[in-house]
Amino acid sequence: MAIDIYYDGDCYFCDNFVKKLQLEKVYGRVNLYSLRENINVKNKIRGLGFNVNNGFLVQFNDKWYWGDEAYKLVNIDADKNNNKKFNINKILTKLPYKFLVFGRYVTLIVQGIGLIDLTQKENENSIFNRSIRISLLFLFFISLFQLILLSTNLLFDGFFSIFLFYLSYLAYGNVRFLGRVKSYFNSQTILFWLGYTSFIIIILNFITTISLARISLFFLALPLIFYFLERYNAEKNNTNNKSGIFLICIMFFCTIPGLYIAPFFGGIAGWHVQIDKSDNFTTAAYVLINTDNEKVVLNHALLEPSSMMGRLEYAWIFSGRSKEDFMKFLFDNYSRLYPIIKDGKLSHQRYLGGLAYPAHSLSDTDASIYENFSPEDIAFITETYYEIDFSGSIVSEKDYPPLNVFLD
Amino acid sequence: MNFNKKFDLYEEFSKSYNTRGFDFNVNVIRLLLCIFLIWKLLSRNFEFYGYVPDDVFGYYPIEIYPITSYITWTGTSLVTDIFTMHWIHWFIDRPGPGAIKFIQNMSIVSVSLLAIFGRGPKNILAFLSYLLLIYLWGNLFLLGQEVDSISLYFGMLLVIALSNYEDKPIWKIGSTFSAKKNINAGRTISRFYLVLVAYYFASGLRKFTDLSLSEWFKYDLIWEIQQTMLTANITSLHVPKVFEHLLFIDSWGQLLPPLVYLSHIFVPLVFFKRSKVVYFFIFYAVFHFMTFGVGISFTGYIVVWGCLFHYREWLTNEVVK
Repeated sequence: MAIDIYYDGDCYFCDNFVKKLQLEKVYGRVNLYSLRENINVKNKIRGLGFNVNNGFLVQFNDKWYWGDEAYKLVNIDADKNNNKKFNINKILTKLPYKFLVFGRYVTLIVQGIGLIDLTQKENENSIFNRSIRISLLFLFFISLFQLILLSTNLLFDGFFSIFLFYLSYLAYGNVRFLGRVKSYFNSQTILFWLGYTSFIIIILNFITTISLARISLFFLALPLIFYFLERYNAEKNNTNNKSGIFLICIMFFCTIPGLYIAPFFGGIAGWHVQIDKSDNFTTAAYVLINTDNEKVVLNHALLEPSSMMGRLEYAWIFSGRSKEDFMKFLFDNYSRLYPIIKDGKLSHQRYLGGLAYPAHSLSDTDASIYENFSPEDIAFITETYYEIDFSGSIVSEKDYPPLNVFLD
Repeated sequence: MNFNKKFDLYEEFSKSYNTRGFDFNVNVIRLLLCIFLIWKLLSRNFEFYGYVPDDVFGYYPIEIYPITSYITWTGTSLVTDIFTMHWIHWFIDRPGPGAIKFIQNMSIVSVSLLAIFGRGPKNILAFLSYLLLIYLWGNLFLLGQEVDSISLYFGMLLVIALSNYEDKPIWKIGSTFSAKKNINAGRTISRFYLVLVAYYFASGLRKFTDLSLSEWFKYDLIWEIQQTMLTANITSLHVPKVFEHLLFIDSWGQLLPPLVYLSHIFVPLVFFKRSKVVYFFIFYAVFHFMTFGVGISFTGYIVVWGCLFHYREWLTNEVVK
């Protein structure tokens, strides 16, 4: 006595379910046939007219059983003597078959695996094909997220979501569509590069939130990365030292969203600045005030190596410390460095003078302005906010409550 | 243009990556890199971090930008601590000013030895330099400054530490001049190119993700320079005087940033056509100098492409492909 089971061998869920049924105890010999790999098996089943995507097939005693019927045939408790032992399959076997079919579809989607196509000879679930499905699916989810939570133009975003849903549907359900995409990638012509790049740019222009666009780029590039990975894996000889792995790594590096592995990061951000010259603009600077009530701007380069404008202060505030505490630190730092300043240099110039590597936010280098500002002559430190017009005139000036450096 | 012409990226990459190169050029790159690092180390005063309270060292890259913007997902405390060697402070206290100054001095010694003697046994000097330098710069990254125009140099230092080429002490570099091109030196040079290409190409891709195409033409560069100059008159910011002569460009300045974005996108071409490196050097020298106009110093990157010049070939009038 033998039983033949025809099932989806690429579906993790189906594969495990079938293998764990322990049908040998009941039927003796059990033959498992995956409907994915062997074209002879596919040809044999194709003529029977069953929809193998909605149910698996069993051949037993020269009779065919499909879906529910097949399920009843294999859904027997083969392990009656061990009822107390927990087994996830025991729970699954209690579920109606339609739930299991649904579970299979979900598993396939998550795995990036398409439906079974009995007409296809090739493995339609290559790593490249799966990357296309997964990419399109994630892009669809991103578009849906944008549509539901961030949309400012429902019609526009709705169309975008539907378009991506349609592409995902094609990728999962139509093997010929993926075949065409694959041949397009294989061509590697100028036309392919122009087309692929244009597709990426068009999709990215539909996504208005920067972090979502960055994630989308990753998924848009993923098929190309996996295409190269397939080629890398297929390289038999060692003439190129399998150097393609560097290309794959570079592509990952450039497209992984928000990559920051100090000191390396995924490129300088893009931003734009629009200025209306009829509007005033504001700026701010820390200012030392001496006992004669003279003022001098405290050079941000004195905070080198952390000389990017404002960042150290953000870190200070982020740690829960107060602005006054930061101002006190600025004064203490200035006092510490004053012996160098007195010699006419800023701290980063102490060895190389004017040839020193400049501060990150480019700074003035004239230390002579601090001549009248020895630490013991300083009374206050404050931050002054300036409103300036485009002719360079200061329209208004406002001080943060000054900190008395000796009393506070 | 023949759109059906094949450009098999994978094949072309492999071919270009495995181009033969001169050990002489790699040794020159090592020297230039060390000179730059020593210059920067002598212009920085890392003992400053010995005075910053310990609890302030927690403004990691992931915290800098909001989640909808340029968020750096992997710039977490765990990843940043590990890769900057600051994980050591999970176990021991942060050093005081004297100890940091000692580490800085050790770094200068280590980089100097790397320049003079080469990488040393098992490339120890290159690794040691990397570890010391990343520890020092890690302080910046933990305090919310995620860039300091240094990452390309760190990348090149890693290439030196991890590659296989004929390394020579400074007094024997001349002996590599007559040596033939070989595959190991060629691959090392390819990796240097890849460090630069990855950085700029990733920057180019960010222009597609962070900006819409219409926003490419909305950067009022000249007016921003003018605004920065006015700000510099009041604050400690500085803008070189030369930029005053650019103000006549006025709103036409909006056409300049897209040129830079395009250069970022096309930068991988230099990997395949290395004879063009001079053009990239000139373009990026100008571009990085232009950032001075908005008060940002990318001084280190102005000259970085110069490291990749074909010194050996030029000295012997050899044609570079």
